[in-house]
Amino acid sequence: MADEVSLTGQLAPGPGHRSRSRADTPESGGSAARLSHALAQINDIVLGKERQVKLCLACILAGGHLLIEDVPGVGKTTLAQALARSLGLSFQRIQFTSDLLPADVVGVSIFDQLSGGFRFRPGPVFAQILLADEINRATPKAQSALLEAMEERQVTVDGETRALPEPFFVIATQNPATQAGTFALPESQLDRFLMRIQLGYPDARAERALLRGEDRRDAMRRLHGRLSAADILALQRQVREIHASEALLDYVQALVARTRRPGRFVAGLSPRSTVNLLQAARAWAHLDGRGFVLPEDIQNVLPGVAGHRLQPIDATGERAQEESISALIAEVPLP
Amino acid sequence: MSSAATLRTGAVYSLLGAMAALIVPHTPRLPDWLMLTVLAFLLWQSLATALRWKPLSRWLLAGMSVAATAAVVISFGPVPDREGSVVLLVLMAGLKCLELRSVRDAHVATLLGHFLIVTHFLYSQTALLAAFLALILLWLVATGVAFQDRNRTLPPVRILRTAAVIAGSALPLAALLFLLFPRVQGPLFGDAATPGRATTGLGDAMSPGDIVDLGLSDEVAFRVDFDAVGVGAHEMYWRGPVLWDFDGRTWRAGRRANPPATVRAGRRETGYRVTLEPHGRRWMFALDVPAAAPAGAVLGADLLLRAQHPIRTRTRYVVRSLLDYRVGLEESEHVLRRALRLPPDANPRTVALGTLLRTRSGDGHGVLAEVLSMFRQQPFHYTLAPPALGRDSVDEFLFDTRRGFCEHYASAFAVIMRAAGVPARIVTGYQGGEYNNVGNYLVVRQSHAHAWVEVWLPDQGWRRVDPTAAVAPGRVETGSALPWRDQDASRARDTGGWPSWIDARQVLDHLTRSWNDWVLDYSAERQRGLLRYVGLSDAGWPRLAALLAAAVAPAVAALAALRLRHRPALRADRVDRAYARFCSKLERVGCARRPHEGPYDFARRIAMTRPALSVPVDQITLAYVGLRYAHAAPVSAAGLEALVRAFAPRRVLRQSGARY
Repeated sequence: MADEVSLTGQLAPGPGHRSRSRADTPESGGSAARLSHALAQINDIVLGKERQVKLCLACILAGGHLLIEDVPGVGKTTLAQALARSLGLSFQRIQFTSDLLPADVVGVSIFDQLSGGFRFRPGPVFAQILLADEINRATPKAQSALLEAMEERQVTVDGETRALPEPFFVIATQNPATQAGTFALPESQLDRFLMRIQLGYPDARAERALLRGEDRRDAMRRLHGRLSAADILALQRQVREIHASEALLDYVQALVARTRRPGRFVAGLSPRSTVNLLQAARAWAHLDGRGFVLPEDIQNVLPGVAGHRLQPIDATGERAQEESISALIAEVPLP
Repeated sequence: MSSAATLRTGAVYSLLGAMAALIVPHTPRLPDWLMLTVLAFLLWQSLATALRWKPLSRWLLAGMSVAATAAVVISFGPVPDREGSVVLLVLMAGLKCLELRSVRDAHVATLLGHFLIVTHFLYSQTALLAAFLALILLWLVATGVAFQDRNRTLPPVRILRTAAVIAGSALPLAALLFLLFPRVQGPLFGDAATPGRATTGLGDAMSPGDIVDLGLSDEVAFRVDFDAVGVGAHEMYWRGPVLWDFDGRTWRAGRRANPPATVRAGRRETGYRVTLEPHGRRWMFALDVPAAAPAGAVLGADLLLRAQHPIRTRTRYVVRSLLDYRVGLEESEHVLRRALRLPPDANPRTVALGTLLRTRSGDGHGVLAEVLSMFRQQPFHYTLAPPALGRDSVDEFLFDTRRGFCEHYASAFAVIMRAAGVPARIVTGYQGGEYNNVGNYLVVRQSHAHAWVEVWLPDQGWRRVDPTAAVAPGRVETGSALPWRDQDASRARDTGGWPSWIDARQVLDHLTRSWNDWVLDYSAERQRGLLRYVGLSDAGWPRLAALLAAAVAPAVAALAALRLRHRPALRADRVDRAYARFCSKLERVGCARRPHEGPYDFARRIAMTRPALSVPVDQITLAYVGLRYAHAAPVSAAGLEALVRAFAPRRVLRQSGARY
């Protein structure tokens, strides 16, 4: 009955309580502690967005790519950079513009006079974390070069296939499609992002802290990598082992079936999205220090996982997507 | 925990509002103390909800209900009549509104509201009332839905929609019950009118000022469907009681029946169907003069149709009337003598005038022409607000005031005629009517009540003379708006698309008529007719009951099947059953789990709202989650069951001092 301790800790009264004890995951050890350090460090930079930060981490732990979408100036890039730095992975950044070429992303072969042959000069995609800033300002051609790399985790240049480093994450930011000068990502490419996060405006307290505080860029420079590539891979392995019971799978299936019912969404969730949903929920449960998935985990990650995949039929207003997903959750009783 | 904590506040206000809307219309019928008491209850409860007062103690409420019952028994006897029962129901509904502690109380109060709806039909059954009560019913059902929505997540539109679906699903069943439920002879809900309540309408006596009361009443007297058009406005005299005996002020029908008059029919006649509203007397109105009596009635001496019993329910009959006729050419001597009788010392000036006219113009025709021209030329005014008249009412009217309406003119005219030796009698009834273009029928209202005179001339028999028409021709001409009048037809054409003559009043009256026809007057007889039509000839009540059961059972089964299909999957194992029991225990102390709420979220919410419960709730939640979602559990299923069994949230809360 080793579980009892951790569960009781988890349920100790008080709102917003979070326990970091993870006695139920045998190989946790130090990586978990370092993970929580990383989380705290990011929260120091991105103020008042604990939930979004946690979702980002869950996305990474689930091995998925992350899309951060919001109006300019709410801290998308700051969040992406803080994530990349805190995770301690090698990272590159591409600022997407409308004249960006695929070669600018994946790299080119250039003639080397010394050796007398062509030498491949890897592009920024050869990194463990790639920051793709304002991805929807590039033309579809440049977008698809990146998106192909995301799916295959390899790039092919001049007939030679080159594997990308392990782990490999893309953290992309984009402006809402309603803004001028954007090329909206098609659904098939949106689907490659495990999660889409919307940051939203900070609350009054966070904004005040922002006004009082030092320059974010200075703070950013002082960030340490709290984790290593090995840690991330170990954490991903742990996430895959989180237990999902039959009852929970029933609930996931009921939710997904509801999205496929005609009337609310243009199209329901695909089987791939369903797998992603469960994976993200596992990562969320792991971040909560639990060895098994609860319906609450599904509900917490559903807006991030499904928000960019479900198009409401009668979408009116800014928050239509968000509202229709909360309505969807409220409609499906627990099995 | 105050009532506001368990019940949706908006729903409480909605319930109180619906109750007020149901009770206020009873004001004219029920005692004032009752109204004030119950409205005070409702007001108190709304204040208590708004200000979160403590609910009244159960002892106080119990005492109040005993007192209320005692008051009703003392006032209305141990077996209360209709009014007593309604008073008791209204009181108890008001008291229940004071006791809104749980959702269950709220549902009981809402149900009492449904019974209050029925009480209105004991007094009146008009279409408007039914529509109003249907709205209230929807309101009540919506209130019930709002109470049932324990997590207060449904927006009002969804609540209304759910209520409409619930009420709508009951409609087919209601229609079946309406059509097939065995009926007693008589109208729906029995006699709506209180026995002994005065019904408006013409009486068998007439003194100055009688008809003006009717003249201001908009109530419908009867409605007429003609077989064919062609009755002119000047022919629309609906014959009622004939008045013979005059005592100087009041005309009476008199007890003595005359021998039947002979009728010689001319060429023109018309057929029509009358739907007579109950008026408590025996006579039935028909166009002057009816050719024969319809079934169940007799054609009396004064050519008045009489039913066998006083008309207390809406009655339909088909009549044919003669438009060209000669009546009473061979009238007996003593009848004519009766039609000449005048009280000896009343109205001397009028009698003198009559005698003078007689000597001046010789025969009846001359007198008639002279008197009519007098009315036409001298300054007589038609008004519904005449000055009061004294003892010699006819003298005062003819020579002093000269202001009056039909009964003054008819009375004065008849007195002059009798004084001049021309037999005369007064006929009361209705003149004209209002044509309803929407339903193509004629509405005759109490405001169409009229009195005219019949004089007897040797070569013509009884001849109708309307002195009012001589003074105010408009009263007769515009008394009705007939569709076959040319200007009406052209007006309808001019406006194009939306005929100007469709006004709201006509539409409303047409609705009322259809409601009367199809709903209120669906009698046992018409039920038999309907069943014969579908091939069931002998429909006694046992057979009807069987038919009803056969028809209703599939409907209920279909509804039940629908309900079952939408039910969440049956609780399969004991872990789930135990957790469900745990949730329902919490629900009883006002913490309902939302259907989609996960166990941890639920436990966390309870820890915030009811900290006293957090230890046992956490323990049970851990056990449940362990069994249900984790690969290892702290306790077995039996352990969970034991934990749930021992869980007593009410007691824990009471011990911790939390108010609930």
